[in-house]
Amino acid sequence: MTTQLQETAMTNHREFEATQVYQVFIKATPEQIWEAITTPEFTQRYFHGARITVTRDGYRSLGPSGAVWGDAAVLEFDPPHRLVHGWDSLYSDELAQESTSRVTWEIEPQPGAYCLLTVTHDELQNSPKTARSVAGQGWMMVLSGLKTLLETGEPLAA
Amino acid sequence: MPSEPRTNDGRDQAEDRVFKALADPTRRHLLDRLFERAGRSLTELESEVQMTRFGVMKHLRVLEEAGLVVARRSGREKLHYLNPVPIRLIHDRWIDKYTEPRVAALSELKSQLEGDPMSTIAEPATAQVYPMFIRATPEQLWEAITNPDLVEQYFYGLRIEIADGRRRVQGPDGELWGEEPVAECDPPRRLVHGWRSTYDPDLAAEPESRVSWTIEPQGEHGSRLTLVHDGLERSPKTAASVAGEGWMLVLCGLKTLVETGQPLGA
Repeated sequence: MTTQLQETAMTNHREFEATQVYQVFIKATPEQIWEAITTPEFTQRYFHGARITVTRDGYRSLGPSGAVWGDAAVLEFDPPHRLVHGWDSLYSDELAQESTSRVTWEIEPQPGAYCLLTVTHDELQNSPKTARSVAGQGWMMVLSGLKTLLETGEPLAA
Repeated sequence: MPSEPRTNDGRDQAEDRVFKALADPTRRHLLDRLFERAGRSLTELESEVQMTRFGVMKHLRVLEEAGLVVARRSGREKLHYLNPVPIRLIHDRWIDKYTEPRVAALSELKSQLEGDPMSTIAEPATAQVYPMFIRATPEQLWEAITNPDLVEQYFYGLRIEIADGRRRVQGPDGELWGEEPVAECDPPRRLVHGWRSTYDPDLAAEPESRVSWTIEPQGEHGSRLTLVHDGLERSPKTAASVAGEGWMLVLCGLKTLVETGQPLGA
């Protein structure tokens, strides 16, 4: 985690970082967070409208119009603790040309009724455009929306 | 680069205090009790251990000095809260690393073998940026940042007042912990103030850095609050201490409070 913190900090002062770490504290159980990450009914309310289904067999994301936004391998599937999947930005022709990167979700209960959710987007060294597009606000808007949805039952976007 | 001995006295001292605090069964017991339920008074804790009030106070003081317990005044009582961050840091530094063979650790080892000290202890950023999207109006966010009654519900229990061009930080007993200048105060858009980590003598000795809160309306997405902590060039320990989880716990607590009316930890 120390390494992650340092990398988080480093994300801040480079143009793009091949390893990006984002953390949010969410007042919800690990099971609730896991469900919100892996089922389309939840993801469409905070992930730019994407309907995302994650199972042991794969990660699939469909845009609101049914276009395939993501179709990648699931590398680790350990509910409700840890999920690792590939990332191809199929929602953009330009970004889709870049190499597959990797996204790791880690859910850790904290003292008190909340959890720390850590999202690590890495293996971006050959995908600078993707790295820039998801950096900072990109992931933070998604994670802010996830937190709002779980804590209030309503999406962030009115 | 040839490797030079690294001095890291601040972190070592902080770790010493945590290890010493944890080396006693009564103190571990007290932490467990606070883990089960936060916000306990001395009298409550006293009933949990076979010990005099004075003995419990002594142990609590050691825990407070190690940063493991934070006390906060509530009416006539002083309530105690567990602060898990130092244990987490110990875990990350001394346990996690040895139990989880992760790629990062391997690459650290590799660069260590190759004699590159830079990548073994990455420098924390001297300008840290934390964006957060919150379902609230800029006016509501401004209130949450500047009203001491709201601030203490998400800012580690501290009472922080912004008035007369100063930002005054009060500890749990109402004593003045620190006072920094307010450089900009433009409601409901922007607040800029000096920062000194007065809760830790080691960090407080470093030069003052700067914190900016910028609020921007985002239409249907509510507002974006961007916290920037910069001017940390000569305050490396402060930079490391506030990085990542430090500020995110504050900002996530603020978001929860504004959106649900309840603190994150309740």
